[in-house]
This record gives sequence, structure tokens and C-alpha cells, in this order.
Amino acid sequence: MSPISRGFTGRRRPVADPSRVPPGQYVTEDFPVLSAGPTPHTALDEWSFTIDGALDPAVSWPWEEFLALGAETVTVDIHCVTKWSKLDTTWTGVSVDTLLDGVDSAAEYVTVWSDGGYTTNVALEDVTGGKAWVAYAYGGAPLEPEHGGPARLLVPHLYFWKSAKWVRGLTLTLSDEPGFWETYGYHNHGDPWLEQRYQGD
Amino acid sequence: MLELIEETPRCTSVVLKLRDWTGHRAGQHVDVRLTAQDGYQAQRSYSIASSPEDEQLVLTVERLDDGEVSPYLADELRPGDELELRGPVGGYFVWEESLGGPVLLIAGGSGIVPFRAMLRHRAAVRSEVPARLVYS
Repeated sequence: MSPISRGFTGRRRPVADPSRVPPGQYVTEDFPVLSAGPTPHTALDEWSFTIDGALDPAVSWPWEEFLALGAETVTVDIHCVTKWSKLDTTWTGVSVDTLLDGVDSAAEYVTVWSDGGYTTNVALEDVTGGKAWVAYAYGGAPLEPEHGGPARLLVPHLYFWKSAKWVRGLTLTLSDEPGFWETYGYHNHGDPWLEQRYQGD
Repeated sequence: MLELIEETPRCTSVVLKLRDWTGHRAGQHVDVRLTAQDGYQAQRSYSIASSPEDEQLVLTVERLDDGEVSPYLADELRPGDELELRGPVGGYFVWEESLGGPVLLIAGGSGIVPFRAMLRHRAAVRSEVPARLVYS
């Protein structure tokens, strides 16, 4: 039970549909930028997307082949563990279902890895079934490097640290291996509707 | 809350006496949660400015005019009021003497707050690790 904060009434901003805002979140109109290190700038002719780990052989697409995989455009709400949410964001990218089409693997987990060394872990079932994309456009324009361009993972039903910026590949794993923030006290799963911010939530 | 210290016209340090604090590492933050009479809540993260060796926990907060939690902390909170905290949180952006150096700290605005914790820690343990702060 939280103590009442004397004199606090809040500055509740009208939200069109409060049922879209998870507990402890506020809606922002801008697009905050948070990162744990410098922004990588990988040239597109050096960029590729790779799926490796518990499959043989690994598969990899250079940029042009990746774009040719077939894009989907989705409009989703995103939720950052630092408390901001942004509604109705529109992204274009390749569905993870498309990337895993034809892949035969016993893996149940995925380590998402990025330029710059960032990693995050997700269960395979959290990125399949129309729940995740590798997005390369935001609002109809190429994704800016500060927001993860050339491409970032988009897993809108989990806190946004799972939507790794500058993503370069997925490593399929048989066991769940904590990623970068997950080893620094953040929740392993990160469901914003359950407010799974930190370990123990 | 024990005391408010006006650091600059826009920045206030909130000095807190804590029950059941497990201690922190310099660079970590806490989540502050405010609860209104009707149960409405707002929470934000704030960096800790005090060193682990300090007796009291200090949060240094920049007051954002259109903010929800920082104006409350700067304008409304009074000594003796209770504040709900969660933490410490974050183990990545930390420095402590055992990590060695030299260290170069570069910050703008309220980004200096976690560095105050690190530099206070450095002074408290009389570290000889070379440190330089670049601040705008």
C-alpha cells in the first residue's frame, strides 16, 4: 500500500483511451532517445541480418535481399521502462515470422544482438505469431540512427528495451540467456501490462 | 524528507532519511512514486547524487515546468513528508574505486547527478584514481 503524497494531485493529461496506457506509464508526444553507448553507423553495404545458433546452416541476408523479403507496416503503441509510452507509432519492417519461415530448430529462446554489442533475450513465442518485426522505417521514412536505424527489432508488447536498436541478428538458443539489461537487474520478460520492470516484479 | 537544497534556480536536491536502505553504488537511480488521495499514481526515475558513504540519500532533481513529479518535489514537498522510493536500480552506469581508472566523466545538464555520486564516493574513500569532469 503506497503512502498518500501530501499535496499531490497529479497533472493528469487527457488521454484519448486510458485503457491503452499500462500501469505507471505516461503518454508522450515526442520520441525520447535513450542508449547505453555510442550510436553505431554501419554502412548499408556492410549490413546484413543473420539468424544463427541452434540451426544449421545459419541464414543471412544482405541489406537489399533483406528489403526484398516483403515488408509489413504496423501501427502500434510502445512502452519504455523509463515510464513513457507513445501511442500509434507506425513502423515498416520484416516480420520475424518471415525471417524464421522454413527454419527448423528446437530452440525456444532468442538472443537478439546488435551493432555495438547490445543483446536482449526473448522467448521465441514472444517474437513469433505476428508479434515482432525487424523495422527499418518509422512514420514512412528511413529509421533514424538515434532510433536504431538502419534497423531495429520491434516487439511492442514488451518494454521497449527488448526492441533492440541497430539489430543485426537473432541467435536461437535452447536455454534462456539473459541479455544486457537483464543482467543488470531488469526483468527477464518485461511485460508492461504486468509492470515487469525489474527483477522480482 | 529532511531538507531541500536549492542548487540552482531549476535544480533542487532532496535529502532523504531512509528506512531499510540496502545501500547503493555510485551511478544508480531510484524510482519515486507519488500517490494522490484518490489513488492516482505517477512515478519517475531519478539519479542518486549522494555517495554510498553518505548518511543520507540525496536526489538532485531538475524541475521541468510541464513535468508531473519534478515540480512536486521542488515546490510542494516539505521536510517531514514521506516519499515512496524503489531501488537502487541499475548496475551498468556505475563507478566505484575498485573499478580503477583513470575516469573521464562527460555530462550536460542534470546528467551530472550520477557523477556527483561517483565524485563524492571518490572523495569519501580518498581514491587517487585520476578523474576529470567535463560539464556543459
